[in-house]
Amino acid sequence: MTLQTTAQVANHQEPTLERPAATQPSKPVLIRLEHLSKTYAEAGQARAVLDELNREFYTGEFVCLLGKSGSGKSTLLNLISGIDAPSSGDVTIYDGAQAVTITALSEHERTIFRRNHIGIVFQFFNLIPTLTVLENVTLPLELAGKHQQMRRHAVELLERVGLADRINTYPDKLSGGEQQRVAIARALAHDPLLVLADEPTGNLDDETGETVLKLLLELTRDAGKTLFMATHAPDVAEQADRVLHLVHGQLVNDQLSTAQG
Amino acid sequence: MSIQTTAPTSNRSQFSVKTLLRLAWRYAWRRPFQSLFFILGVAIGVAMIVAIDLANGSAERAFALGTETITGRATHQIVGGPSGLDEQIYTRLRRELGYRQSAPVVENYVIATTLDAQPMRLLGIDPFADQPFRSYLGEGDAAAGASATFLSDLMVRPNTVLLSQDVATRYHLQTGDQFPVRIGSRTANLEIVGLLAPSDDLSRRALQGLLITDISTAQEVLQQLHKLDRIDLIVSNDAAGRAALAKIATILPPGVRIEESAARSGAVNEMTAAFSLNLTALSLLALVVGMFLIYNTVTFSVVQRRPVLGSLRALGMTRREVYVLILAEAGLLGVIGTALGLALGVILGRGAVQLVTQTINDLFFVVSVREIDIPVFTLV
Repeated sequence: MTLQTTAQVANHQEPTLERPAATQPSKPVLIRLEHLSKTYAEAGQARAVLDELNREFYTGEFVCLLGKSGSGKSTLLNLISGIDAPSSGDVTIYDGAQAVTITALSEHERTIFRRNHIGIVFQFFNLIPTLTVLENVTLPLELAGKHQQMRRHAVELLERVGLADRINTYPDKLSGGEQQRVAIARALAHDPLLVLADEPTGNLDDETGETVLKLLLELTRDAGKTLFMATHAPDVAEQADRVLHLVHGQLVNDQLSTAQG
Repeated sequence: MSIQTTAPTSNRSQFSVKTLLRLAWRYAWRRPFQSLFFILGVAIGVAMIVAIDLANGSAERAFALGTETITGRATHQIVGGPSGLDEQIYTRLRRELGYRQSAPVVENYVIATTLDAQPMRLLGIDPFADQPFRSYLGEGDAAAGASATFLSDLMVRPNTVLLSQDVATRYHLQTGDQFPVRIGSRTANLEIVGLLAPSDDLSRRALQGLLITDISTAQEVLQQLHKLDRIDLIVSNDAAGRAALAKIATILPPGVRIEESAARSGAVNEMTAAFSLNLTALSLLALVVGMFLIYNTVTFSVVQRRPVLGSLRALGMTRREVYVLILAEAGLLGVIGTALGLALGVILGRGAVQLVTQTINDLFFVVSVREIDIPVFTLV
């Protein structure tokens, strides 16, 4: 199966695709990478950070992406989320009956897609400092136009991350672990298709990191969401359904964990 | 399964203005000093523009009002050199040519030492000849009309004047009171024989810096015996009017000429035009400084918040929404700064008008501004 370009779509009526044959029959494909490459110009020379990646990821899967600093983990997350555009290749995200090739969308459309379907957890939390804890969690709902019972839903999520009593607190009054728990609630608030986490425990001590990781896994698994996590902590990989190493722009050691159902 | 390369239709921007304004307001609120500098930048720029405009405008309007009062309905004026005109010209005008639409004027500025040492224009007129020219002595205006009693006092008794009712009230003066005036190094005592209280506001304000007296009193007080400053004329704008002007010109000695009233006040306006332009340029400079402050504050707030703006973009806020957010912030603080600047400008304007008036008095001509006008146009 091949995906069609914008021009091809325009020339055909009702183009249809079959869902790719999954290696895991029980899990439908959520993300498909096709010949995905990203090249940066450095001192007048092109450096390929991602080189012709071809992969499929499944709904409800916890994918752990390992690699050294500068190996391209964050770049891959940025391409999947539509924050950045690839040099070549495609990223397709399957939303129920629809498949959206986000690399073919405009920057504006990618942003709209991201606000509606992707939750992101950052290494440095990236909470909005001028908004309270509750407002930070309701922000993705407001961005996505999901105003109905917005507050109740956000409070429920904050209860689950153990911060229901801090809803009116500003982020600068929270510890790193608490801020990351707010960020997790924020990433899940608008019921995204997948959650991308870029070194979510990288800025926390071991104990707090473990608690945060456990919470992130618990919430994403309960919600049936796909979690795509970039990290360079090998112990996180033990809990993942699939572990990928990003080496010299290639995804290697693709392992299917026995923990996967 | 369908494949699409555009965002689903339901994914249109639904981000509410309320959320955007809240983000903007919160940032301003949580960064009080930064916001304060922004507001001050706008306020100072706006205040300077408003203050200078008000001062200029008030001085110009006061001058225009004064000119209007003195010129009255005169269309032309016979004027001479610095030493004035011989009063014989007026006599010949009326007797030889029989031209009745003319009125002699002797005027100069005196300092009313006991009335806050303000400069007042001493206007010497012939009360009978003057009636067609200036309305405040007109019989038709009951409130303003000077009674026959004080008109006769004005002509018969020396050193008598008519004063505005407003000025008299402000300085607790009444008919029969005397007050000193300074003319150069000399001092003269003037007696009030009547108070003028025109019904309309414009005339009332115009009379505030004026002392009206009989022409012979003015000649004595100003030491201009047998001299006139000018002769006002009312000439119709037709062939008959032009013929009358030509006829009048034949009796004028060398150095004496006929000028249109409008041209005369226009010439005075031109004198102050450069000064007004300078002031306006300086106020614009203040605005430029204000704009520079605003530009720097906005740039600083954007640079400082790059990580936050990046987070908002990652969360799904579009470029346009981020742009609107920054504009909303600037707009919000700009509105507050402008409102503050307008109020500050009016206060500064009250001080600036004194300075501007002083400069005009020192360099160009005497103008007395007792209050400032606040035209809506300036504020807008």
